[in-house]
Amino acid sequence: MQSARDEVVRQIRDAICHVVGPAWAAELEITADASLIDGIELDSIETSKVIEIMLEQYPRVDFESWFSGMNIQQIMSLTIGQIADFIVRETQRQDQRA
Amino acid sequence: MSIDAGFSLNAITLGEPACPPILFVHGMAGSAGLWVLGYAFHLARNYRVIAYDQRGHGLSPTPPRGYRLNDQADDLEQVRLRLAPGPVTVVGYSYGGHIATRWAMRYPEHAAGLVVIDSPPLPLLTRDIDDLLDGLPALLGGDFTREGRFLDPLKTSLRDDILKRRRRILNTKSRIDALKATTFRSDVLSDTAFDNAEFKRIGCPTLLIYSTQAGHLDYAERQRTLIEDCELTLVDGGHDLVTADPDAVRHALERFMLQSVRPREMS
Repeated sequence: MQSARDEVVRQIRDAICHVVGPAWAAELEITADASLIDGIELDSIETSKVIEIMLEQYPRVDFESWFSGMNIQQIMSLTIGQIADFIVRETQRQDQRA
Repeated sequence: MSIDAGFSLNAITLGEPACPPILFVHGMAGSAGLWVLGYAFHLARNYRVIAYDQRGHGLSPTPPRGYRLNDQADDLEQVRLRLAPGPVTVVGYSYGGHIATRWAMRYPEHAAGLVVIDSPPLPLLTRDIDDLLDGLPALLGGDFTREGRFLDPLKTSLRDDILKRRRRILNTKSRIDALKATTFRSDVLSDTAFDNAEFKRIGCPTLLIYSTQAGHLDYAERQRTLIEDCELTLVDGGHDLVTADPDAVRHALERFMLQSVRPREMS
């Protein structure tokens, strides 16, 4: 369980590094507790790109339903850990159904 | 996503490819992020949602020239061609509404619908463009003495972030600084108002969503009377309606889509 979460956190961290570029990434503390807007200071288009990468990596996860219950501020205030927990939970649920 | 001009525009798509497409065009100094985070997840259950960053904006590159409305409408057409090669509904906010309108005039055969959200009349005001290109970078750099109708509200809302020189503030400043080094200013100021005959040529169903307080209602009414199949929806509030009241804007858009997209085009 924990290793699955750690792996997802690592993937999100990689996606953020890819989007912001190596120069910025080196200055950021990208931890599970960091929120996209306050911790890592992504703007809305960078957040969108990170989410797009997650959508491609986890096509079975229903991000649309989850995010559609939030406004922009709420989405950008999510922490990496919260996103990882959602992905792990949804992936396990899908696996149980299969 | 590469286009014929020889560079790539950043574009994001959500929803099933078989669903009716909606293509979003952001406003000046904006990005596709507004549409993705604020609208796309709601709409992607029923529609193919496409949002892109215009040249010189967001994560798209900043070429030295090509910022007139015709250039931008051609960029939009390239995005449509690559990501939704059939009739699409195009939604444009503020200056993006002008790009969408110009596109519908240039490419009527591909326009399934047009939605214009609170676009002010053309031509743009020199003072406003100077606020954007000179005043805003100065403010973001910490100069709070600058004044302007767009700048004044930002002095309060962004004050803490500016003083802390937050990363996204520096990002925005560097993007605008890059835009200043192009023909953007002269290009956008050289675009003239659409004439009556051009509005009358728009043949697709059109929805105008205008705010009650931004002061553009006369222009909205002029469009409504000139465009053949056109309705006007008012949303209480100011020009920031797309972020201040996204539910009202989205509901108007969804209602329009249900009316304007024929059932056989629905998935």
